[in-house]
Formats: sequence, C-alpha cells, structure tokens
Amino acid sequence: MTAPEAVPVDAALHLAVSQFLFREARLLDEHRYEEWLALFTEDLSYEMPMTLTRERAESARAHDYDMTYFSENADSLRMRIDRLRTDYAWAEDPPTRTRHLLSNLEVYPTDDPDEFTTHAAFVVYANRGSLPNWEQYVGTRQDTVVRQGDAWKVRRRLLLLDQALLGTNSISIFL
Amino acid sequence: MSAASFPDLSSLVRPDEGEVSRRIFVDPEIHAQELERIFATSWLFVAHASEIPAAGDYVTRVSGTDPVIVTRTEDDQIRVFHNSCRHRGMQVCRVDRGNTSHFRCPYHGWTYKNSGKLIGVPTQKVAYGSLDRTRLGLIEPAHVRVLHGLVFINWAPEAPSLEEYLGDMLWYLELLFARTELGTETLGTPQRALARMNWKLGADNFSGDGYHVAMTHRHALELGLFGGGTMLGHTISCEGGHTVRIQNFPAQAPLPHHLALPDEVLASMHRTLQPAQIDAIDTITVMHGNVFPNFSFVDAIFTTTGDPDIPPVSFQNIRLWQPTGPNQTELWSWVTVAKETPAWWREASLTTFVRTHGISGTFDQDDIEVWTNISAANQGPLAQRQTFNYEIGLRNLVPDPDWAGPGTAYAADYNEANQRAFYRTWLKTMQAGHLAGAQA
Repeated sequence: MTAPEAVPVDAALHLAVSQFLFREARLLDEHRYEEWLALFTEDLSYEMPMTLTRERAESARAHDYDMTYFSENADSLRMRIDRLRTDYAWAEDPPTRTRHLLSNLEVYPTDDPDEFTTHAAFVVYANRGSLPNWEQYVGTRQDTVVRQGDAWKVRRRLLLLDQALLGTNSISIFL
Repeated sequence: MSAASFPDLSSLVRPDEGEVSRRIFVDPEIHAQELERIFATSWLFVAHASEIPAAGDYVTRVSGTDPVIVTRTEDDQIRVFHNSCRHRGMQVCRVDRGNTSHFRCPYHGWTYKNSGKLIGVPTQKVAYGSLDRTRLGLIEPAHVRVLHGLVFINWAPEAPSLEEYLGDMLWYLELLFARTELGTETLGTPQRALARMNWKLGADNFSGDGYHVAMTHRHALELGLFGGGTMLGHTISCEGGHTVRIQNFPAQAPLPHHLALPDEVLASMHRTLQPAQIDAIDTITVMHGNVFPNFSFVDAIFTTTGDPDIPPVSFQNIRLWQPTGPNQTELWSWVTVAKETPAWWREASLTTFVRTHGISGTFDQDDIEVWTNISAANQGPLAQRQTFNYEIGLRNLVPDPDWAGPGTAYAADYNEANQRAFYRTWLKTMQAGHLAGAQA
C-alpha cells in the first residue's frame, strides 16, 4: 500500500503507465488472452481476495486474503487461457462481451527506479447471450508495474471487489 | 392452500420411472412449499465450528430464507438465533462476522446477550410498566447439533436427532470430516455468489452425476488436469435421500493413493478411521455427495493445477445450495482441511480449489453455465409440461453385494440411482413434512 503522502510520478511516466494499462484492458476485451498474459512478468501474482461486510471498527479486516476468488500465478493463468482454447470452455463459448474500464489512476514510484505501484478504480461490464443487461464487477485495483527497457509489464495485481456477495453466477473472465 | 391449486406432486415426481417434472424447478408455489415443508423441517448446515473459534465470535448465515446468527457463547456453546429483533423484527446483526458479547437492535435499542437472552429494553419501566423479558429472547431453532465440526440446525421440535437423520450417511461424512484425530477446520471464509438457477440442480449434480464429467468438464480431460473419466467407482444411496459418488482411478493409470494426503494426516487417519473406510478412499479420484436437502461436499485429487512445482493435492469443499427464489440460488463454498495438515499442503489445497472448484474455478464456471441455462430453459409452459430423464441404471443395475460400506451401493460410476433417491426423499418430505400450523 502506498502512503497517501507519496508523490506521484511526472506526467510523461503517468501517460506511459496509463497507456500500458489501457492497452492491456483492450487486449482482454478483444479476447487476445495470450498477448494479454505476455504483458505480465513470469513471477506474476494475480489475487482477488474475498470481500466481507464488517463493522466500521473492523474495516481493516474487510478482505479475506486466505480465501480468494483468484489466487493465480503465470502457470495457472496459462492453464485458464489454454482452457479457453479448447472446444469445451462452455462458460466462455460463446464468449462474454466485456468492457474493462479503468479510472482514477494514480502512479507512484518505489525504491526500484523501474518499478511503480498504481491505484485505480475499475468497472468491468460483462454481457452474455441475449441478456439485455450487464453484469458488473466494480472495485479497486492495486498493480505493481515494471519497466523493462521500452516495455512495461505487470508484476502484481490485487483486485478488491466492492461486492461481498458476487452477483454474476460465476467468474469466467479476467479482471 | 386449496388442493385444487396445488399440483399433485406424485404425478410430477416419479423417480421409480426415472421421470421428474421440470415444473418443480420453476413453480413459485412449489418453491414456497419447499421452504415450508423441506427447509423448515430438515437438518440444515449453517457453519463450521472452526469459523467461530473464540467466545463471542459469530457469523451470519441463512436458514432456508431466514437470516440467522451462529455464535459461540462465553461458556463455549455454539448457539444459533433468528437474526431479527423480537420487538419489530429489525436484524440485530448486519455484518458477515465479528466478535461481540451482545447484539443491540438499531431500531429501539432492545439488547440481547449472545446467549439470546433479552437483557436491555430502553425505558422499560416507564414504557411498559412490566414486561416479561424471559419470553422475548432471540428465537432459536428447536435443535442445534455440532457433529465433526459441522453445525446443523433444525426448526422442527419433533425432528429426529441429527445422527438418526444422517443414518448410514454418517459413515461417509466421517471419510471427510472425521478422518483424523483432530478433525477439520476451514481455510478462510466461504465464497459466495448468486446464480440464476434452482437450488435442486446443484444438489442433483452433487448427488452423483458422474455422467456429466466427460462433457461438461472435457477441457480438463483435454488439458490433463484431472484423472477423471474412468467410469470406475460406486454410487451409494442412503436412507433419507443422502447420497455419495466415489470414483476410482484405474490400476493401469494410477494416481497417488488416499487423495495424496500429507503424511501427518495419513498417520492420524490410520489411527482414526475403520479399515473399510480407509479402503473406501484408497484409490479415489473424486468423492462427492449430498446430505438432503442442500448440503453438498466434494473431495478431489488433481494431478496439476497448472503449477509443475506443486505435487498433486486434493481439497475438501463444502457446498450449500441456498434457495433465494425458484430461479435463484446463493452458492456458499467452504474449504476444510484436517487440523494436522502442514502449511504447504493447506496452501496448495486451497489454491487448487480456487483454480478449479471455486466461483472462478475452471470446473465450476462450466457447471454453473449449464445449471443457469437449464433454469432459463425451464421457464416456459412447454418446458414445464415435460420431464427430466433419470433412467440411467434403472433397469440394468443391481446393488453391489461386495461393497463394504453402508447404504445401497452400485458398482457403477454412471448411475442416476442417487438422483432418484434425492427426488424420492424430496417427494416424501413435500407430501408429509411440515411445521405445526402449515396447511397440507
């Protein structure tokens, strides 16, 4: 977690990181999963802990990092993508139409000059079949992104949902 | 309810002919009667005792569609209360979990000790003169029973004991929840999701649907994630509509024995379970089942989770199919391990669950896709005049006399005897069971 008094990066770096994250979101919306995974480091972590409704005094424990909706590494994300490429990923064939929206982006430096932490709000709209309405995933995202020469990669993604009871049947997409 | 408006259930549900009407998965009146006749009279799972280890710990849950609080009192008793003030019905607890000695209603301030006793009524003397607080404690189920860490409740005073209710099924529950000397505990909190499906579709599948694996979960067979699809195993139906499916790996394609359990657990298991029970889980790939009506479990071994550094592990998963309407079910999903389990194995087990059988799991995505689309296709009047087919094994299978465990066992992995047993109990309970005051 970045301290609130941390000074954000300059405009050029902010633009570079935001363009990287927007492109990453677009690859998901275009179902280009292999290219999407290539934007992560091999030592990636991708976590979405359970959200709990707690009393205000217990707000610090409003997420359960033991039980998660996602607890992924590079191999398991690859397995999930391989699954989508079989003819038997019924929940995603026909594929869900998604729109990954990322907003309120803050980018902060770390001790490593090539590593940055980001905070962002996300809304993911998901639509299937002929359903007239969208399922929504809403929350905050904390990423660690790294600069590798001219390229950017995501090393760590933490997704904190604003919903304690998931309203979407299951989770068959990436966030 | 008039007899004319309520359908003749025995014409809709004919398990002995392998036919179950699709109407029972849709009809709002039948659903309302399920809540009254099944959920208000059956033993219902609400929590695992390890979720509330300390005095004052509580979790909030749902019984049928009624909110309840499950708490541990100062004298180490697990108590369950209707989460609703006796004065005007406000929920006295509005969070998922916490620790407290008392619950205070935000409406008028009635305050209850976590033993359910009403201990505070603001301005009682002025407002009421006299008030018998002893008859206004939080409402409790008629029975609360903690068995092998599983907290079950029953609202019917005349209900049989949980042990009687489970009968032969207890032997199979012991395979998971009384496997070791220390018993099990949960890892983290339960996952929850709302799915647009009837609750019985989940219970039906977990009862013993070995037949769907090779198609619904074919991705896993293609990717070599799962040793399934062997067609070797047993389906076992117990009195009371409780069911188990045990699938075995073939000798020529062995997996680790005894669910790849770690040495610490195996050592304790050999001191705890009977030899026949240890044999029953020797060569299994997956074991799952359902305690009538809506408590399911699965214990499965996976050859890989996509991570070559993690050797095969298994996981224990408890499911609750919580009805929130004829076409909506709240899915609850816990992971449990034997308390003897070392840290590395716990982590691998939990991760395997999340990636395969959690809400985002590669198996569950496809199960839920199927169940929600069945519910969508059930809505029309045409569909509701039709039946589902449950004829597998109806004419070609006889019980296996060599099976060492209790219940009626068939040496077949593809068999719908368990589903027929589930619906037989559903029919019997709908026809007979109701709380005092309910109209037949």
